[in-house]
Amino acid sequence: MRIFRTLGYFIYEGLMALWRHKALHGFAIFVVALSLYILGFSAYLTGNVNALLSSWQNKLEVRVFLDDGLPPDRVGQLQELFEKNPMVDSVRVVTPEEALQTLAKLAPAFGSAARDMQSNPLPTSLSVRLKPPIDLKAVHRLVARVSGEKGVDQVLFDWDWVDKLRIYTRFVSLVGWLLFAALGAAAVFTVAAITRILALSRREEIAILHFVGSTPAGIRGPFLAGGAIMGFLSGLLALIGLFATHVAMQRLSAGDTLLLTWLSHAFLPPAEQAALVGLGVVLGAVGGVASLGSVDRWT
Amino acid sequence: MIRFYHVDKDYRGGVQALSDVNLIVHPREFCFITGSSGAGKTTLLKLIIREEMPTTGQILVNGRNLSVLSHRQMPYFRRRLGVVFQDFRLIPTRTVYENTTLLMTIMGIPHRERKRRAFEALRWIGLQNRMNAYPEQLSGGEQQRVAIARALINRPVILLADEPTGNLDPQLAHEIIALFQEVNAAGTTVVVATHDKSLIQDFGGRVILLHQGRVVEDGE
Repeated sequence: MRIFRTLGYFIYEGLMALWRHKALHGFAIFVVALSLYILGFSAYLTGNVNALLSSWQNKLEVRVFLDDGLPPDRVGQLQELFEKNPMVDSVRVVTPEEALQTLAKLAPAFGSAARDMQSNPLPTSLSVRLKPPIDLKAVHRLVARVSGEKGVDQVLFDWDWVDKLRIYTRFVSLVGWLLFAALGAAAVFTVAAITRILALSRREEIAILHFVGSTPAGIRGPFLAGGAIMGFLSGLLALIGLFATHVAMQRLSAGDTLLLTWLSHAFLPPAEQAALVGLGVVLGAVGGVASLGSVDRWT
Repeated sequence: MIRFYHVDKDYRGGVQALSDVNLIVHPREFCFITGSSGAGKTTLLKLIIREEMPTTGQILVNGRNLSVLSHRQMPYFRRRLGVVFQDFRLIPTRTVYENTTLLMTIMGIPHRERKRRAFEALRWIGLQNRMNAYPEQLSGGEQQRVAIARALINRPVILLADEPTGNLDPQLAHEIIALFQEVNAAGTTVVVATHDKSLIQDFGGRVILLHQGRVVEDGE
């Protein structure tokens, strides 16, 4: 129980210090919140883009066009070949008539042109649905293998841009982390400087604590707690800012801006929200500790 | 209780604060350390509380050799000592109660226990009704009493006072020394550094006289 009472004292002292120097701490909270906001915003964007890519990727299909006039038993063999593959969810044979109907729906001009022709120019094909999560490299290997099969005219699987988009997303994430690292360092420095100022203003009190037999942890505790509380409040502020941005983006996307709709699909998941606040606490605590290097020798 | 063996203390620049000091303060003893300014009184007390380390020699306090006392052990060692300063060293932003119980608060001692011990210590010095006052609301004598209460609240085995009456008028100074004698009568070893000869004459007891860092007279 003693440890909880001591922790309670640290937190109380940290809060009181915050209250006594509101402007100074307000500035530090803003700097830390800004760094967390940038990191959070990059996580928000990359999270939504990744979710979108995953949802697309999970609907991917491989389209296998077969040679004209391929006997039904060979079509059946090829269908069976795909069905045996563990990556494959389902295989459906698309007849030329069915393909024509689909084309007519999607592109009426092409559809009517094809219908006017004496014979249906579209080939029989296999629509191969894949099981999520999809391993693009494995799919490419499958496509390469199937392309060489007898009776297969062409295999369509052009989703490399998904991978490219993922790379861009990772880049955005990296930029977010780099900005966070720079601003985070500034935030730690700000917290450390402010804690140092506060510690110096309480130099006499610290010296007294040494004389009466307080341990270094007992002296550092309130400053550490003050830094952690600052970080916690910064995390909350960053979350509020991010949520406001999310709401604003959703409102803007109501005006049919497809890109914004994608990017503002969902707010940060609870685990990431907690991580952001936790990171704020760590930043603040690190700043608090970093400022008290020689406090043990203050007399 | 306190033993100095051939203790020298030199400061940077070749200033010798103490030279070959040998002394023993026995348990439950009351003694004055006196001498003119710069004689080494404060340095001697600083060595006892291990704020300073001797240049040469050994110091034993409460059975511990201060030369081998680790940084980690120091707070626990200091909890067995009470220290009173000339300038009181109270925290202006904290009440009398908070000043006296600060260490206990950090140690996580329950509020009820803190309050009981603070009341006990403050009643002894006659300030039990000023628990919620701030230092600036107290007179110099009262502030020094609070500092004594803070020093006593952890029931130290040794009470050290560095010019505790330096900022007080003669009557208050007498009251403070009388308080120290009461503390001593209760079983605490008391060492008071003062240059006030009239106080020493009035209260008597063992007097250690320092001159230019040397013990020149010891009324043991």
